[in-house]
Amino acid sequence: MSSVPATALDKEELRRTIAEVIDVEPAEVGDERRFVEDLGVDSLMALEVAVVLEKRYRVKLRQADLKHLLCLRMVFDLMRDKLGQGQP
Amino acid sequence: MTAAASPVRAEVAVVRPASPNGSAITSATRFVIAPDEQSFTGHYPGLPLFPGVCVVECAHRSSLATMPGAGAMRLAAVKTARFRTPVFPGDELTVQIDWSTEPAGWMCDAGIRNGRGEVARAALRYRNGPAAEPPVRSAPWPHTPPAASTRITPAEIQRLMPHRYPMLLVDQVTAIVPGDRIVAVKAISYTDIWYGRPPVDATAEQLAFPTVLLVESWLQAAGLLTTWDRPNPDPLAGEVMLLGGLTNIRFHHPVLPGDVVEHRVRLLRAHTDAMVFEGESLVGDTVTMTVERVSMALRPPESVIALAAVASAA
Repeated sequence: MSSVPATALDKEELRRTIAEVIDVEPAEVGDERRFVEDLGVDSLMALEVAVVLEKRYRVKLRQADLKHLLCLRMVFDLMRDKLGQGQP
Repeated sequence: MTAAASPVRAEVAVVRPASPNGSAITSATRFVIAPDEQSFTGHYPGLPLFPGVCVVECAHRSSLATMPGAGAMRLAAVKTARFRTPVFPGDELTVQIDWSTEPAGWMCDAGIRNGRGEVARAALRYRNGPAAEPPVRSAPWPHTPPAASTRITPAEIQRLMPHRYPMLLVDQVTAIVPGDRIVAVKAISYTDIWYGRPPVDATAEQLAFPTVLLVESWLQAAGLLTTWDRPNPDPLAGEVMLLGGLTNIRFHHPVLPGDVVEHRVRLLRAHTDAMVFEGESLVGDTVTMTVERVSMALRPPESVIALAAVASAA
């Protein structure tokens, strides 16, 4: 799996990455759709999402960060913080 | 024995050979998983569960039986597999395959159902030709763990894990850093139970160790990393270890009698009841299998027993 440079956090790519891990079509991963309640993600898939994000974006996620991985928008915000990119 | 060795005794029944279905090519098969499947004896005593890798084997055998077009196709990779619920003795499995073309081969997208719903999905990649996946060099093994100070034999392994003969597929743990990484080995023999009694002229292909059992053997090494500090020899008294998902497991080289397979497993992340691993398997310096990601879950036995009761009532 290739990792992406820290300067390029693309929300659509993030959407595709997450969709692949949780085994749904990217179109189903709406910005505000909750992974667990709306998309049927279980604790195991959530853990896999964390592993894939860490590898792909070369960031370290703490246990406390995981509770912020509830929907795509929250993942995007967290990754932007981790990658040190402020509001555009 | 005319076909390759298989851990699944059940015969594949072709319901529909590969045929055009709208713009797609699809096929379908079914299996009856009888209570006398060899794997049930040791997986697990008192709580027979059809191993997840055997569900993948059903998808694989379905592929071989209904492959569109001609040519010797080899299983190159398990691109993904997701396991939703266990399969129990007596279950009838139906396998529904969507085919798509790949460079030099086919992709099989299989949905596997029992009478109660979908049990798993598996995407298997096949390649035409003698080699499955191109050879790879072993990635440098970071921080090689120290060798185990004593020999960790099957007796110790069975004090840690619920797997029993013939489904105990790790012979020895050679090195471990608890909570982090493990090295374990499995020796392959011509007299291995999975070959049955091979004909004297059995080809190398027929004597290739079943691919899904190499995966299972690797998974058991991962399981040992988990149970090292938390022995779990009896699923009825402890927890049931269930396979969650396989992602991009590639097969680079067949494994034959006489080979000693070394599994290397790293724990990527763990939560209370869930773990994610990566790693590889080697024979000597040859990488035979690479594992991008595997997830496993520990479930309370009550939840699995309840599912088994529903299955046997059906």
